[in-house]
Amino acid sequence: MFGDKFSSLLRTLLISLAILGQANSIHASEKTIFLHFVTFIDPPYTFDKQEINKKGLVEIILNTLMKNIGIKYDIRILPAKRAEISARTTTNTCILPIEKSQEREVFFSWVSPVVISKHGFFSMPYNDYIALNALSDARPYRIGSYLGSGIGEYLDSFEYKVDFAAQNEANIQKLNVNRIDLWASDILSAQHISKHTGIEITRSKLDFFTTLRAIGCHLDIDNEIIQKMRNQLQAMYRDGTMYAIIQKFKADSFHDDR
Amino acid sequence: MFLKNSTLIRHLLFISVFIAGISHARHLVTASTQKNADVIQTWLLNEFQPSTLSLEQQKQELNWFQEAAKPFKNMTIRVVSERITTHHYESNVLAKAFHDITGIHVIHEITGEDDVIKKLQAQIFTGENLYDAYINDSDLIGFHFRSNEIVQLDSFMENAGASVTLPSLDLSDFIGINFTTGPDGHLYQLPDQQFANLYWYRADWFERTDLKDKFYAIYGYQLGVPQNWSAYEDIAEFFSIHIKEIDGQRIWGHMDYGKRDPSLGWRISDAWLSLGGTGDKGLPNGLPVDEWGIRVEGCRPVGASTARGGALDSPAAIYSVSKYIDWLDKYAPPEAKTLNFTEAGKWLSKGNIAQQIWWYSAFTAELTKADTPIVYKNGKPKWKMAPSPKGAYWEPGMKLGYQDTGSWTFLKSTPKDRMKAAWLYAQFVTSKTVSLKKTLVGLTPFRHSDILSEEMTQKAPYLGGLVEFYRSSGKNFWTPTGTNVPDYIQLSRLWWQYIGLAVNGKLSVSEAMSNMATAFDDTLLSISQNSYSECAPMLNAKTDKDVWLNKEGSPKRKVDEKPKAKTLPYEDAINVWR
Repeated sequence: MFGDKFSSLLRTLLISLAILGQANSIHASEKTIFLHFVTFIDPPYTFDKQEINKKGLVEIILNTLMKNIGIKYDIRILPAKRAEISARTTTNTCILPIEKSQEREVFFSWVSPVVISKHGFFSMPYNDYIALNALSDARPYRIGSYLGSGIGEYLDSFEYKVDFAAQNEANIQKLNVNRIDLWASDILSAQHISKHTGIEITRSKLDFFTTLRAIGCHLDIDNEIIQKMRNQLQAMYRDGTMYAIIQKFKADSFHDDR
Repeated sequence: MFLKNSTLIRHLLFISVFIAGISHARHLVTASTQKNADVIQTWLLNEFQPSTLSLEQQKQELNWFQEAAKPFKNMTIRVVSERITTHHYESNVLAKAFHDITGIHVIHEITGEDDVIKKLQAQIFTGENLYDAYINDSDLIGFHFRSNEIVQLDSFMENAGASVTLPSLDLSDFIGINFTTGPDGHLYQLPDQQFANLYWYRADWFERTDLKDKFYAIYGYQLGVPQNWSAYEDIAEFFSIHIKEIDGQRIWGHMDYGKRDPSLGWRISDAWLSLGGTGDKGLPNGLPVDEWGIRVEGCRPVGASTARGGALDSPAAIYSVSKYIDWLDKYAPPEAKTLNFTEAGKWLSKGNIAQQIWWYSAFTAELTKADTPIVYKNGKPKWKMAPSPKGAYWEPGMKLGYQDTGSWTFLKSTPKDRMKAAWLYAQFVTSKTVSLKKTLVGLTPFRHSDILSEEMTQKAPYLGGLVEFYRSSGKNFWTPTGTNVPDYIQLSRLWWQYIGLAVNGKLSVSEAMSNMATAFDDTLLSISQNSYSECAPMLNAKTDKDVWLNKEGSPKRKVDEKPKAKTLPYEDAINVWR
């Protein structure tokens, strides 16, 4: 009899402990979900806070995405190369927005596309004699790009006359002093740089390439978290959230014939 | 009176202005019609010759395009395709011609094949209209017919697209039309260019008496086109280890690539497992187990691991991948392990590779350029293409190689008007008016009428066997990825990830294939959970591998993996094409 009571008590105690333990473990796992994001200065996607103290496009997208799935995070700005290495080598860390290239594919778990960028050719309004109908029409001209730019490398691989500057911002000055004929750039970046520097440029003469940029996460991050982020990102496209966010960043002169 | 007169004068003036206006408008219309005709005439005479059509028939086709495109004039459409000569021609020349003739501006992007697929996937994922059409390989047919995301072109042509479908399109003239038709009988893609995966070798070296004698002295049989992997291995060893140098240059008996990136997967899924003999007999891909090692029951994939009746971790698959890594280590240039598909592709034109077991004929244009060491001064190539040798598990009745057709694909999420304009462009670049010229530029033939033309007969001696291949029945035995693969995008990324670990020595081949087979099964399960298709996967229960290995067909038990080597002279080797 005593034995029965004791064993019943013990069973109750064990079950209680198990439930308590499970609750603690759930709580612990919830507490441990905290992601670190790294990004790099790439206006208007991420601003240099010393120059413009406001959130860039990807920071707003990320904020909406993470808020909707209830995962806490922080974000740091690093030089681009360091940011990529940091996300590759540091657990619980993701980088955005980076291009999901064949070379990079293996190093990250991907949530894509977080940014869909069109790239175009720009020139000075007072020097607007160049007509482009196809990419090959740009072949005779000196094209400005910047070191590390995927689009610059793309044009270079087809043997276009690409002149690489250290930073994209320098290209608008080069256009202005006629050191290049065309500036190949992400359209939003070009428009931001134009406004920021006060140097007027033409609308994109030809939107010749689209790139998809993604969130690349350290491979150790739980696949369930990655899947949650993917599902939320998809929902944001489907319910118009992404469209609304992006519209805020579109300059008035944005060339879109659709 | 004056008033009356002035009214009269006003009326007369009005009438004369009106008549002048009509006359001017008529003049403008005539001028515009003349201008349109001139544009067509200019392109026909300056660019679109030769053609299998007469000049008059070409004019009729282009007039039709001009008329059908009127509702879409001044629209800008966006299409994307991979980075090969054929698509460069379309992007740089045909898109301009189309604009001149129809007024529709086309931005035809060129990028890596992997990027094309990612963009297609992104449009499906986001629902955003990224591109109005994609040219992607027919490998995705298993996904296309199951996904409900892709426009069925046969239905489109009969209904919403009837007014924008070229009367002389002639679908039966497209060589690869079967590849782009689903098992449900619907047409999901329109072929744009076609290529095969074949054996490539330096015919000039293989014909040299000194090399032939030396080969015979070492191996006891004639140097020739290898018929099986035993002979290929001997030839690889012969050139890499025994000959080493020709004309003072280090040469190699084998070329491949091993960088761990997505293109590594294509090498294995397109070629090694199928010719290694992993799948079952039956065309196009082997039934019930295909060359990817996936078993189907009816149209439902039921597993890739041997334990579920598949063959991805079977002895044949392990043998195939072991040979790939072994030869890459022993006989290819040391750099090969660090190269991807594109980087490795440039090596053949350097003139230091004796043979390559898998080579895509899409690169024929690149390898027939006059100023390379692999082309004679008279423009004829020093190399030839032939059927690839077969592995130890291959049996008669199985596919003889990989072939694919890059094809126009339209997503349902594309707005209808934009799709119609893009459909016009797709038909334009594949029309008989331009197809022969495009084929002569890019050397990726996709129409029967072009391949049978007199121009291709004249060109044949300069193309290393391409014309002979496409004129033969052999082309029916080279097939793309089939419908056992329910989602090429999701499954293809597993290939390179696991094979890459084996290439780097992080896993044994056996471990890599076993892990990959499990990952395939898991992915098939995940696809089944997210699909409403009646052909969605439905996994078999796991059972003892021997249960399946003891049955007929694939997965197959271990066999003698080093059968007697066999070679043939070129003329005999290509008999399989006749």
